[in-house]
Amino acid sequence: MARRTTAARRYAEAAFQMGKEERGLDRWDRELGLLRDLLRDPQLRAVADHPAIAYAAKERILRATAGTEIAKEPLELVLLMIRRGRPRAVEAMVDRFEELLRRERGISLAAIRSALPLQDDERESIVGRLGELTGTKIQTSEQVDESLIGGVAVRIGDTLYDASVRSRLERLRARLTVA
Amino acid sequence: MAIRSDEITSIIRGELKDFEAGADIAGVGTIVEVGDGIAQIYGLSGALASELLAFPDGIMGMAFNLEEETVGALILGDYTSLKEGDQVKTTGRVVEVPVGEALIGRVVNPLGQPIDGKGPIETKTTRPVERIAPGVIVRQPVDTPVQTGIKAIDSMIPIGRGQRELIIGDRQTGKTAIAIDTIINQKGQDLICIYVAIGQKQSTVAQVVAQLEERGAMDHTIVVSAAASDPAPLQFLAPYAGVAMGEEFLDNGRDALCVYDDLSKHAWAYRQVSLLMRRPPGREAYPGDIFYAHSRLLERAARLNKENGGGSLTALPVIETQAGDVSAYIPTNVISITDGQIFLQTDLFNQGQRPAVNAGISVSRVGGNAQIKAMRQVSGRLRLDLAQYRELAAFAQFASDLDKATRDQLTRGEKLTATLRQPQFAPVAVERQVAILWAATNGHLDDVETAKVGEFEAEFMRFIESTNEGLLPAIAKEKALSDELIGQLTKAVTDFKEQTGYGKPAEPKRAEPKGEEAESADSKPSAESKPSEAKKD
Repeated sequence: MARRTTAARRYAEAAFQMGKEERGLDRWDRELGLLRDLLRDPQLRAVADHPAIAYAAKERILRATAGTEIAKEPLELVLLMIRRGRPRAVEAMVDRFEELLRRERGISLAAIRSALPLQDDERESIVGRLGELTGTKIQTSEQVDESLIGGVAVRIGDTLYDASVRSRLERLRARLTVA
Repeated sequence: MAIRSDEITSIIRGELKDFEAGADIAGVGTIVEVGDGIAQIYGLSGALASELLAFPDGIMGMAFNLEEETVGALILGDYTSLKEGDQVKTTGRVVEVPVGEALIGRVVNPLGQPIDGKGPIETKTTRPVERIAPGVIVRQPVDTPVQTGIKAIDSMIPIGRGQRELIIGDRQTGKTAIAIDTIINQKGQDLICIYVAIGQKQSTVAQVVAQLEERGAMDHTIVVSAAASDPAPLQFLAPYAGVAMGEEFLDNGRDALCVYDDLSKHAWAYRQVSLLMRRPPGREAYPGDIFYAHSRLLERAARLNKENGGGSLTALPVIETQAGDVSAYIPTNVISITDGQIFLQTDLFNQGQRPAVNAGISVSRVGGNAQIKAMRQVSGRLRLDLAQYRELAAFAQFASDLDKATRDQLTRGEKLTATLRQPQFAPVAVERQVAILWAATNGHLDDVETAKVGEFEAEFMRFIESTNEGLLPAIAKEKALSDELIGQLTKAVTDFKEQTGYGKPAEPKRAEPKGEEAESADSKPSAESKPSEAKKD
């Protein structure tokens, strides 16, 4: 896993720089997203991955499926990765690209887990607090996790803001058993 | 009942009063790979070098490799319950161990948790296991001895407080015995001993602890044990944990002694985790920083100057060589770091020369300054005589006819060697060492049968105590042999020999055959028997 993402980072950074220079980050973002979705298709993925299929064939198939919607550069990038034997890194590359884009725009992606589905006002206050904490705009993804018992746990990047009942109980247990 | 449950509630409420219910903020990552005592963790981008990491179920770990997207961690504990996908949190602390008085007399693992079944350790103080060694400004030269109670060491290879003296030798040459004897000899003195067992058999550690307990030495000793069955990361951590416990005493102006038994196994454990972490292998597949791993550990031994409390931390690392190969990687490394080494040799051990110290190649680079003057007075001669004896003995093996001077020199060496023999668990106080070594170096033992030297020593000590009880305390107090004390010693040894009949004039007929018996039983070189044959002619 580590190795694959390391390679993906390099491609993502290259793509990001190109996009930035030609002021087409939005277009790159959209089209890379499309390509990622395309490669999620199991059939296409199997073809791209298959070592016995010649690159020329893979290229022809991908170009045909991509159609005219996608500009030259993003498609060439993905083809390059396939030619280099890294079709599996495409997804990680696109994820990384999106991360770079968010960083450029000062947006943090917050994965919110809560014991119960969030109400609108709750979401608003959480987003507000997180915005203050991180000093960035907050983009959220939500998930209901009953094992939290109550409260919320928010993960932004590698930082976990855990205000769930479960984590409090765990801390309480640690405190009582140590003393 | 109602009252009691009320009480319980109020106690618990009191306990929880200052509990912060706020959010817990921590860096997190997920395990992508776990096994062999190490884990690869994806994420944890905020982790610090050697930060303590919290795995699920209260298992702790240590950040070891910080890479672009992953962190390699050592798992300090049982890793079998961890699995891929588990969440790992940072703690903001570095790895630390409990320290202080409460640990004395206990057996703990490298995390400072008790493993002797004597209940929890009541201490609030902790110290990070890694610390930069004290600098030049706060140190002072070694000037106080660590009395090992072993004649061969205290006389010729003296160890000072704050020194690092390596004990090196093959397996089964008595390395641990020297360390244990040294610890036992500190009984009733203000020197806290820390015995760190690295990668040893549990049974061996249990045996050492039992021996220490039996001789009342656990009252001033901490045992840190990372046995062979413990995961390699714990074995790697053990000496650092031990030295951290010692530093607590050092910084409080007290004296401590740390035995690392042994650093070869520590190097193996470190090699294992380094290779598993894919750090590049170097010579003998050890990682590139193995030298630093040992040097930063041993550098933490120090003698602080008065302004900084005047405490000391002495290090006695042990290295096991393979077939006497001291030029292997780890032995040469540690030899070059330490302030001297005590070489133990299999052939000496098998000859019955125990402790099997090879006085010729053992050195102590700074300990001489720490010796008491009385010992310095006798040891200079001792060293010289032994060196000449060794040279002659090798040479005389092939000679048939030797002149008297040579024969005398050989006899002297033989008696000195015999004087340096000493059973295990029988440390000798320094004033007694001075007395017997003085007698030996001044030729008073030359006419005593070699086999009877041990007996002579024991009886002579009893004799001095009964006839001149002030003599030994006077040596201990004055710490030097004045002319007057020498006079008393001479008188004591002459009187003693007269009364007991040791030496030639008493029973020359009885002495001769016995001497031969002893020699034939002795596997020592023929050099010894030849001069005595010459004597008979």
